[in-house]
Amino acid sequence: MIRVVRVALLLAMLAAMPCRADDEVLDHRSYGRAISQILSSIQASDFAAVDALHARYSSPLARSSDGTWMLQAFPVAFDAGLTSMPAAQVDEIFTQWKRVDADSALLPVAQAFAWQSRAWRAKGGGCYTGISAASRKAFDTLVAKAADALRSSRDEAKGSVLWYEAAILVAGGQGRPAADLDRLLAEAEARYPGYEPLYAARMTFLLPAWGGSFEAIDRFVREAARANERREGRAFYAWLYLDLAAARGCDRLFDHSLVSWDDMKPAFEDMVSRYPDRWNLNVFATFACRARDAVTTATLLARLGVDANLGAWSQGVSTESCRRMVRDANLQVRNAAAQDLSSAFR
Amino acid sequence: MKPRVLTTLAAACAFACAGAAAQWWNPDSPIAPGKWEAYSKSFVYSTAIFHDAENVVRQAVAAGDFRKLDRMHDEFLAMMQAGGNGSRMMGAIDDSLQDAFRPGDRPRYTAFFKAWREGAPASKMRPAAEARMWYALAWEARGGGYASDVPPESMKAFQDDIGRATAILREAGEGGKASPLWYNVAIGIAGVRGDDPRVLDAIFAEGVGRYPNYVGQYFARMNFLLPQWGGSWDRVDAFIREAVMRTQASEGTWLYANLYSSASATFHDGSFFSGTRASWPLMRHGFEDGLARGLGSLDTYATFACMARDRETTARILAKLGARANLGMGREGVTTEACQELVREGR
Repeated sequence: MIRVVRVALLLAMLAAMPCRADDEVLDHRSYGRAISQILSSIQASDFAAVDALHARYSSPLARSSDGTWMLQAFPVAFDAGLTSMPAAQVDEIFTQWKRVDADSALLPVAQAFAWQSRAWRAKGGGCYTGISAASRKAFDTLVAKAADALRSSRDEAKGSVLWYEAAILVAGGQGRPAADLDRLLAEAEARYPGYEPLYAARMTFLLPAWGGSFEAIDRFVREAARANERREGRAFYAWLYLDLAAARGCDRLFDHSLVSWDDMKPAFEDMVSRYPDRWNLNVFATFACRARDAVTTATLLARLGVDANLGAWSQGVSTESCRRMVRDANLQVRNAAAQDLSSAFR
Repeated sequence: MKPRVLTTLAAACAFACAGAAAQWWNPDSPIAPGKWEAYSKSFVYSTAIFHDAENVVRQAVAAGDFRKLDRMHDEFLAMMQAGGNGSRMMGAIDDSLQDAFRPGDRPRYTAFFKAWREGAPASKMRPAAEARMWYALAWEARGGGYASDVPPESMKAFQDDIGRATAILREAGEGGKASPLWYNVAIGIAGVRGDDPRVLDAIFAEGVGRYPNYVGQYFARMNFLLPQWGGSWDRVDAFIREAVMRTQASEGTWLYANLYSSASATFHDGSFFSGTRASWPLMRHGFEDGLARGLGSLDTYATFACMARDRETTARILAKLGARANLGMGREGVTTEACQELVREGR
């Protein structure tokens, strides 16, 4: 399942974060705080607080200073909090939630995300290995449970873009035809234009493991970037390929894909021009380093200064290793220039 | 009383009383403050207390409290050497140190260890802990991928930090071996440097000879017998069987299950029981032995029963766990739901 999941990094930030007042400015820490609030509210059975937070970030759809859609805190929290505990405990949480607020529009969405997250864990995240019949059966049963939750939801639930995101993931998991998924995406796009996680959800089912291909993914990414250019410039290209880089369980999807640094670089430039948050600058620098673009990496490292913290979703890439890459590249350039100079005098 | 007698009594108390104030370090201790001495002899070091100790060690590293670390280490070392209750607690320190150090905090760690050296020059723990720090940072720089996938500058950073870890151990000399933690990190360093396996064997043999009750060393040595380090599952199996023979008296066959459970985390190529030499009947026996000693967990036992497609054992443990069942240990494709389906398939 693909989405920009920064759980490990955010959980590391959570420990140091106190709760903030309701008039907080949505900066790059706000997303992590939101996840923390959702998890602690669920733990405290304060479902009204969960609903209130959802309402706060829905109208209008809020984004933090790095461009992250704040509502994404919900599926991330549901995945982190509701997949690692026994199923009976999850059922109990939803029973309590229903008892407290049977009309909650978010509850069926939460159920759908929780059950389909558990489905994906039962299936296993390995993209290229077969799964056992028992794992497949468990997956199908849990996805069906997620589908039931969406089916039983009232129309008001579609008032949340998260309903559509869950619906695409569930429909894809059930193996529904591509046309059904495209129709859901189109309906969601019309109501919530530019909400990138919807595209990430759809893209999941273009992966080779789901009968797709990297060519299909590349076509989809380019089309999505074109369709959203007015709002985001070329940034969608970067957002979607970053989702591939962050995908859990499937090894090195990004490296196997048709991503092009020549296209990703201007996409990052459009991203940081709109959301010049240091998180985005660090990600830009990380991928410039991965692409061995020493000039861009050096420029960004200089801009970041002591805030440089490279390495997101990139094993073996760190601020230090990228500084070294830049130094080595400069040394090669100087050596090559020196050789050119000396051969000019022979 | 003459000063020499007082000194002798004080020294004796420092040894004996280290175990007497059993939970001085634990803010979550079930024993009320001030009552530690009264409960020390009957106190049981459960899995929960082990995890408490892990958290306390991490917090002490973060807070730069080396005096607390030294005192905990020396106390746990005494319990380990005495055997019996509390003898496993040294493992809590080693486990915590393995993930206590994060990239980006390098200057803080350097200052911390400088303060530790100056403030406690005779510390038994400090050399191993400092070497462990450089070892951890080396791996953070390299990442976990295959060597051929690591960018050259990351590999250089890795090698530089391994060099620093090596220098720390060398500088400590024989004094560094006053802690069993020295042997674990020394095996790790020798392994990643690609030293001759006989070097690792020699370090391991010395370590288990000196600290026979410290089973952490078996995990450290086994790691470099795995296929990804040029070893094989045959060699892993031979090592594990030998480990069980050595530790029968204290561990029964628990190490068979525990070592294979650890090794399985590196196996991603289909069925674990088909792709390795692990014997499910022996693992099952090991888990039963462990549980009888208060070790291991039913969730882990059931996870492996499920992986072995032992429906009867899986069903039995799932019934015991009831609604608390939480199988999988983070392994994708092995979850409570998938294992429940496996059991249902067999009916």
